[in-house]
Amino acid sequence: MTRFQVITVGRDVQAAERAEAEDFRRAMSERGTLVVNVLSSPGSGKTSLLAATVDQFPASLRCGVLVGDIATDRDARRLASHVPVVQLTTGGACHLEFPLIAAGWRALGEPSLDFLFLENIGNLVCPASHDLGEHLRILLLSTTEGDDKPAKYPKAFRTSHAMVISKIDLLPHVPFDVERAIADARTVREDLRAFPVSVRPPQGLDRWCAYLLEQRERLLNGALCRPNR
Amino acid sequence: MHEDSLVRSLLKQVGEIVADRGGGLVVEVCVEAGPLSGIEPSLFMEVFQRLRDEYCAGGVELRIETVGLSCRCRNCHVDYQLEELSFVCPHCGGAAIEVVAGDAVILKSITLLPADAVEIPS
Repeated sequence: MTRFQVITVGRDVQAAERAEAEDFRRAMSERGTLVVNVLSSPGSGKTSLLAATVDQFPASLRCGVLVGDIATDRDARRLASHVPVVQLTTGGACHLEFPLIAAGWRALGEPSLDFLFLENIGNLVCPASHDLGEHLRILLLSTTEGDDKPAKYPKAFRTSHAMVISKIDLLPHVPFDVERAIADARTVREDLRAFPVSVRPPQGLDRWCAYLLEQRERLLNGALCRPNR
Repeated sequence: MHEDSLVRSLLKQVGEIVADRGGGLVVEVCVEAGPLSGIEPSLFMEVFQRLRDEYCAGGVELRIETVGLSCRCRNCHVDYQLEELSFVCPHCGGAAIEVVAGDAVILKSITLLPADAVEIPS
């Protein structure tokens, strides 16, 4: 007689990856480094926002960036004059995964930082499913993409802590309603913070940077920073 | 498309669990996926069939059970399943909701023919 055995497991298939990401988050909390994972569609302005953010920060703040792309080191070269940066090239994969972050962190030289930014691959689907050990997940939505995006990408918006609406300088030319986009996003995540900004000309960056500094203060004060579900 | 990555994680985990149990022939793997698991079941199945032989011998089958999104309201502490992704508590109408299941791919069970039951052709 054939003796089949059924093993009951009940475990997340990403459990190992999540545990490694959790260890990294804890280690970075102890170092006082706020890790920020930036998600968006391609061309929403992640690289421009990060360059403008570190330029806006007080010079005493120490920042680093791990920037992900499918191919080329163009974004790293753009950022290099603003901030220490390491390019992560996925060779075709549409999202970053934790092992690449660990390798990038080593390549950056594991410096003492106040902020470590992770610029994810331009994609609002797959990156939402991967914990990179971040404290904060930020979703960037540009005014050229349309204000109906949030409910169309529920996981990305649901798991984010804040939404940056970029390119608000283009509002007179595009059919994008900032209030409608924020309201739509909050049907998915009630407590999502929203920051309308423009990089050129600079608009709204003070408030956005103040939010990041406030979140780092919370981290230093031992406030719980957990991924959203 | 990140189904490749999730299927590899699944097959790796199955391999580790089976090795811990002294090996054997894996017959079926059952997973649970919900509306925020971030996979397309038919694509996940296709990728599984492409990658399974790299990890498990003998043509293991995959069963995908789909579930709803299980939530808990932080205001009234009621658990419920969301039919649509509206994130509003059906009891108090509040939106302070925590997702408790249906947002990951869960390895539910492994059906195994234990090593000592596998006939080795002589």
